[in-house]
Amino acid sequence: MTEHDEKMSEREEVEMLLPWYVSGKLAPKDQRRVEDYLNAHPDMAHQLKLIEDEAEASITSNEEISGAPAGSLDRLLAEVAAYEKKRVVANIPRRLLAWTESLANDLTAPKLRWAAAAVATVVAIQAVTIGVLLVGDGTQPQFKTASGDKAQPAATGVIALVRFTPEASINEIGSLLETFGASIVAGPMPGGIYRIRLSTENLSDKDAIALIERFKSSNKMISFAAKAPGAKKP
Amino acid sequence: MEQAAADRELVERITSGDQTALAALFARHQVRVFRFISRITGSDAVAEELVNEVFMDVWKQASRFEARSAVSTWLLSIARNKAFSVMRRRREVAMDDDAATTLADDADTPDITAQKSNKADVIRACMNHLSAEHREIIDLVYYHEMPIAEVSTIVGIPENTVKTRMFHARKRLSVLLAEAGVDRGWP
Repeated sequence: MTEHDEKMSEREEVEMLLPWYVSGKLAPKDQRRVEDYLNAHPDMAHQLKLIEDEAEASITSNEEISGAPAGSLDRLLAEVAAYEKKRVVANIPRRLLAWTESLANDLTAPKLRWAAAAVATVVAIQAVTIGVLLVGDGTQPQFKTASGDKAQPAATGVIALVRFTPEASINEIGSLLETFGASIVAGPMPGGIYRIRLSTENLSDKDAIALIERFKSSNKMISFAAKAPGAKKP
Repeated sequence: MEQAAADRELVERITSGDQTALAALFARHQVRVFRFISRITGSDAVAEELVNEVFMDVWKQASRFEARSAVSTWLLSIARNKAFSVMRRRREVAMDDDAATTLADDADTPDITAQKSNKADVIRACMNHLSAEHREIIDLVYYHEMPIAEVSTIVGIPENTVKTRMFHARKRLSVLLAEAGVDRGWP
């Protein structure tokens, strides 16, 4: 017999709804049903205290677990970058194949068509090879931390070097970045520095510095913020 | 903006390849997802690995998200599937519903009273001795505050089964508490 096949009394059915009654997550109809039953059967109120004890135990047990450790978000973004790189490389042959077919179909003489297709295929193979050489084979993440490759990622827009206070949580940093429409380009580097893109537009030095200052003064968890050296000049 | 609406907007941005939106969604939900997985598997290391997998799935499948349920429900559904896949591979739990109601716990008669001084600690210890399915549903209802319909979506069982499973989980908890010397007067 499965759980829901069991025949239940009205009392049991109401008992089943009590956990959601206590958390206020019942549909209005069920809410009234439980209230009516509790009014008619005050002895069941004892159950509500049991449920409160259970809820407290569940909440406390969960709150004791911290959450993903620092660096998890960086690792996720690195995996996303690696995945996107693989996807781009995988799509090159498909697009080129479609192009060669289209080119061949546009020609009329059969011999000419075959010759053009052969040339186009050679071009396609060369393009794929060059593409793989330029982009990589997708097995290495595009995202680099400071402990890895020393080369800095290409910088466009306004890039700032930012350090957060040790108390700053991932949640707070995420919210702050969202507020500014900013994104982490790289980091953390030695000293806990991140490269953060504050704007995708290339602003004048004066405007870029003003934006960075505004960003820095917006939250006390930013202990340092300055224009990244070598960032693209407007 | 309401949390659920803001989450949906983030998923829309992720669909168009916005990594900042993914980072924001991660920041909002990673703690709950991590705790949910950790409580099912009993391992923070597994939770750390699976949380990343959950959000990678979000990145890859954002366009398939159907706004019929909340984003938080979707995330916990993905997390649950991954957590129980790990559990199945470990062969530590039985997955069918009938077994879930009668599953023998790791320690049916925990020597808890000798170690725990107050009732709240005893309840928590007994809760940890419930089967993974029972502990999961208790957490979904009490900690994650999920309504019946959302639990049904996450666990993949009918709403009536959600209610009866929660009922059996609470009864089982009472049995464990009685064995540990705490008589709750119910059932």
